[in-house]
Amino acid sequence: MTTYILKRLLLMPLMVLGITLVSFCVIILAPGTSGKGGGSGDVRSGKLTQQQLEVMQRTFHVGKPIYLRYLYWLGVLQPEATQAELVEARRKLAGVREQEAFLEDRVEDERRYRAYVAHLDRTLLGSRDPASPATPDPDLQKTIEEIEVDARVPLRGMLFLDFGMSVTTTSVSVWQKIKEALPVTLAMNLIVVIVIYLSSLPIGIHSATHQNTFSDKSTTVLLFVLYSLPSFWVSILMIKLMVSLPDYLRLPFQGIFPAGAEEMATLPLLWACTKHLALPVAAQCYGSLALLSRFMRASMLDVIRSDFVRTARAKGCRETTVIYRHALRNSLIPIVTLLGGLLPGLLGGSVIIETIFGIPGMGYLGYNAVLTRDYTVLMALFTASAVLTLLGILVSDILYVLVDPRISFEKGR
Amino acid sequence: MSEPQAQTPPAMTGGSQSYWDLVWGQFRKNRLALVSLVVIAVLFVLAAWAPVLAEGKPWVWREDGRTSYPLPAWLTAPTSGMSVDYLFNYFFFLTLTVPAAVLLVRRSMRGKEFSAKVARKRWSLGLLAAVLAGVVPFIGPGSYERGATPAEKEAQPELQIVKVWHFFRRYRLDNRDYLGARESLSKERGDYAYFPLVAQDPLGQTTDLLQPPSSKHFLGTDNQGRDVLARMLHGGRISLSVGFVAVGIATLIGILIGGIAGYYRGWVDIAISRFIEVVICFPTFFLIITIIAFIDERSIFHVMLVIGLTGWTGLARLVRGEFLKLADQDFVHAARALGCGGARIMFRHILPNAMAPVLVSVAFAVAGAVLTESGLSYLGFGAPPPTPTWGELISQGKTHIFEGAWWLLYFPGFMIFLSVTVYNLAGDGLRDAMDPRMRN
Amino acid sequence: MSDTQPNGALLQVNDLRTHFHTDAGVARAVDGITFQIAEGECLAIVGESGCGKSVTSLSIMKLLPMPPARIASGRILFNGRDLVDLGQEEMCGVRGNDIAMIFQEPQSALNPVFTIGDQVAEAYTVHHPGTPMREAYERSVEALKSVGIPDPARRMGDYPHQLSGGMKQRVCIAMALICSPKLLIADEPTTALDVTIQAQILELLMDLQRKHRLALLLITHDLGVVAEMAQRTCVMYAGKIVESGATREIFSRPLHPYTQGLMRARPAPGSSQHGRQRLAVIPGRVPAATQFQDDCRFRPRCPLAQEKCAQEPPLEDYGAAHRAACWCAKREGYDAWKDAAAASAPKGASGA
Ligand SMILES: Nc1ncnc2c1ncn2[C@@H]1O[C@H](COP(=O)(O)OP(=O)(O)OP(=O)(O)O)[C@@H](O)[C@H]1O
Ligand SMILES: [Mg+2]
Repeated sequence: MTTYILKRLLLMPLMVLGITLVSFCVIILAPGTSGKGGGSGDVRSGKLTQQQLEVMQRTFHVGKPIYLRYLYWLGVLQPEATQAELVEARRKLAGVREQEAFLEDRVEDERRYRAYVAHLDRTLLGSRDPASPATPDPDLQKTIEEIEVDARVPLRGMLFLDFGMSVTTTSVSVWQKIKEALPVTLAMNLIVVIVIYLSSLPIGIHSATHQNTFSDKSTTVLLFVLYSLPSFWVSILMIKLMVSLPDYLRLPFQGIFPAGAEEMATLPLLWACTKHLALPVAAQCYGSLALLSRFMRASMLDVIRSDFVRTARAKGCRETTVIYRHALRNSLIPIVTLLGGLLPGLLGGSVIIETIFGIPGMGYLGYNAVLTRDYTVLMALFTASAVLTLLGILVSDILYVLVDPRISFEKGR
Repeated sequence: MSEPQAQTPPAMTGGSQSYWDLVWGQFRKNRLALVSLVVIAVLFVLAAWAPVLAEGKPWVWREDGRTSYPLPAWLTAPTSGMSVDYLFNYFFFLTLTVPAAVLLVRRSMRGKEFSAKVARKRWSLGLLAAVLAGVVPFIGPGSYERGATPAEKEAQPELQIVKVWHFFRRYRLDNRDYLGARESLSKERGDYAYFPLVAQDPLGQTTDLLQPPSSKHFLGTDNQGRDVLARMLHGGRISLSVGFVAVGIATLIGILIGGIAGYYRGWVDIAISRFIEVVICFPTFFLIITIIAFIDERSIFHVMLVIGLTGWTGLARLVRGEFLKLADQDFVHAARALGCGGARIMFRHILPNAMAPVLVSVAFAVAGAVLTESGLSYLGFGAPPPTPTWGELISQGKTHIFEGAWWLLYFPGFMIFLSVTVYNLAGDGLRDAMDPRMRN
Repeated sequence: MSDTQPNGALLQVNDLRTHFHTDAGVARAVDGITFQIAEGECLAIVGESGCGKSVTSLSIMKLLPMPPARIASGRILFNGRDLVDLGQEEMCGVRGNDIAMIFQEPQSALNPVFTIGDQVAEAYTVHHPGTPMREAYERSVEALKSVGIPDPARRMGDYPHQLSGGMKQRVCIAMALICSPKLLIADEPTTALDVTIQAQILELLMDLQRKHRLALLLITHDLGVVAEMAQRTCVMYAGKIVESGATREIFSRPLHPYTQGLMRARPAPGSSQHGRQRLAVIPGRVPAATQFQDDCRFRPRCPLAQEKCAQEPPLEDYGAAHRAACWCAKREGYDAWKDAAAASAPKGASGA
């Protein structure tokens, strides 16, 4: 068993590498990263500024040979602009920002404004005559822009979780955005998976052990209907229902935190969050729940008919022992492996669910990134969600070997 | 291990006929599955007939003593509105020619005895003729007729038969607002117009914004005053075509990649399997919206292509498994001994025997593709704006949820649900029909 | 039906009818059979595939899926208690404890996700609740040892897939006997094994039977096994017992044409080979259980069929508890069968 898991773990880096390769292939499809002329459509349509396009092109190292671009992007190699230069650029940009804020605060104050410009000149362009009046300097503006671009080029590459800066939101790194969104999506999907398994197993077992009874047949029909309902439609219908309900019955359907969450005690906060999560979790899980219940029923039926269940009965085991001890674990084998297959659908579905319910997770982030053409964020999300699924598949592989001893060819536990 | 019946490929001898007959016989017993097949057919016919049932253009328009045929002209026009319309307009003509061909062949064979071979020949000839006849309205000598004045037409002598062909096509294809112009027709001048059943333009904006269902707009209007029923009928064209085209693409890729992996084994298999494992990790919806974000001028065909290109992994795994199983059987060894090449063995010998499970998962995949498309349309990443789709209607319903625009939610949602359900039911029925345990 | 056996029989099956209610009609898989087993005795039931042997044994254990299957009539008396009347709950106390069963396919008869030890120990703890783990473990090791598994303590932690087919059948036997039941039903215990293993398993069964004074209901196709192991034999055909009696008696003087047919398919006496025998020498097949008629069910395949056979023959005693259900039984059949068969099928497989 340990060798099996070790083998899986050793395969992981390879798989991650494969994922980055596929991601990279998708990246070089993106307009603006394929060559110098690309992406002009976005600029023309006003979705991106020229500067933002340049940030993206620098991030994905447009104009270099493809293999170098891949290695740069991964962070295995450093592009010729050395790290020190980029760090310097970032530091400078931070300085500019500080002074800009300073400026905004006291924009009417002429004297201070002059002092600010002089200070800016000193910082950016080395020593200048401090006494000279603040004439608008086109060079200065250009330099600031260049610095801004420089400052938003990733320093280390994505293997070090440096995906660069967001193209459309200034001075926010992609990783920062993902770091905020990831826990939300992760937590929600974890809850969803738990809810799915906790409810589909009993449903499937009940249906299988009461085969062809009324409850089995009606459950089957219901599950079939659920499986075919589009989740975004159901979400909207639920919202519509909530709108029409009286206040004390209404569940919240925007976001995951109640207003004023900071001041609430733990328990009320937990309760409020649960209420907030109820609708999105329901909307996200019912489809997979229906599918899994159907699988569970079929799998259980298969196992109940098998010889070893008859042997268990012949030993004198009671029906509950037969079902829950002998049949259950065997029927779980195909169900556990489904977890890996479920995840891509769940993560993908979170785009819709999070958009509808205003949940600040990865799906919502992705949706907005598509709308604003925030390509760096999009690519990072894309890669990150694949890695997340890979982890899920690893977990399901491990669960699989825990459930089915035949997988490991070692002797003993 | 090698049973005697494995000597000949079951799907290549007469056995194939009886296998599919058996499956069909079993399928027919499942009433639900049969009904779902009928519903699929009805959905298709409705989509093909959408312009005939609901369109703002009249069949016949007579004004000032001049007659024109805007709707027939639109039906056969090479550049009409959305691009899937071309395909479905062809289907429309097929719904006319195919039943006609069936009737004719029936009649020609009535009362006489034919060998099965002759009968099959007649049927295939008749159906081929119907398929070709459906193309006729679309072909012809260029677009010279479009917008030509009667004088110009006189100047161009035509064969009589060409004239018949192009009777409809010679009339102007314009974007005139016939519905608006209807009021100005005067009986005294002998003007008249024959409109389709639902005389509403799916694209034409009116001032009746967000009207609930009424006798004028049976299913209400959307936020630009467009008729919901007309938009739903035309939206069916998108859903159906996305389902089938996308899954068609995915199936082709899946069969090719899975087949190669399963047939050649060894390193090829390992490489392809690892590749599939990697691709499976990408949440399909993320993949799709990422790629769709890249496309500057998006059309519905991009959406189909992307859904197809991202949805082949499951099928490839399935086909690989089937090929692994079948490539070891004796009929494959026999074919190899006869000197058949790899491609020939794969597609002529193994593939027909692997088709059964593939078909089942194709049915489920179509349902999945319809769901995906509606989700994309809902988010605004589907077909570009004026195109009517079910998902887009629902998204309007969500925007106006507080105004209580229930007709924008319930009707299109139900259509999505219905079409997804019938594909799932058909797939379920097919799987059960092919399950040997169900046969008794 | 008359019951001539002494009432001290361990298991007594009286006029048992087990029917399946299927879409294709009622399958009368077991249709009025009567037999009994005394303590320490070995009774064999032989017959072709589809005769209802397994259904008989599963009926005794009440292991048939009850919606399609139904015990239409009859009594199954075990130690004087009627098992037909017992509920599933009470049956659980009988199964494994009083009557144990082993099945045809040792490959699939063991639960793949539990260790051998778990499964053997469970068979004990089910009927001895509250047994300390240690004791159950020790008993399991002992049971495994008694069925001839080498190094049983180490084998306890193995999973079924790590064992060979013969070993698995031994584990099944250990599991069946750990509560020292009075009756063991063995439904074709050796069919799925290869020849040398078969011999070992049979040896083991005989050994255990003798040691524990175990009654054995042996279901098999293999007449060689029957001759070696069983004191008495019942021959089943199409849901009915067509002949029963002492094994020696039946082998030397088969009365029913079906039994005679089975005998012909046997290897010549004295030949050491106990190979699995195909009983296909009798032309035709057992009819499907839904198609059983009310005449003599062997009639379509019987070389001696007559007018009279349109009525069902009763099971009559021909002396020394040797009974047969055939109108022609008195014609001292073996030679008659031989002649008739030779006449009707000259090209048929040649007999011994
Ligand atoms: N669950 C069931 N439903 C319907 N008919 C059944 C069922 N189980 C068994 N039968 C029928 O009962 C008859 C007897 O079957 P059984 O399994 O007892 O035969 P058998 O003598 O044990 O044959 P074999 O030597 O192959 O084990 C068969 O004709 C079979 O079709
Ligand atoms: Mg049997």
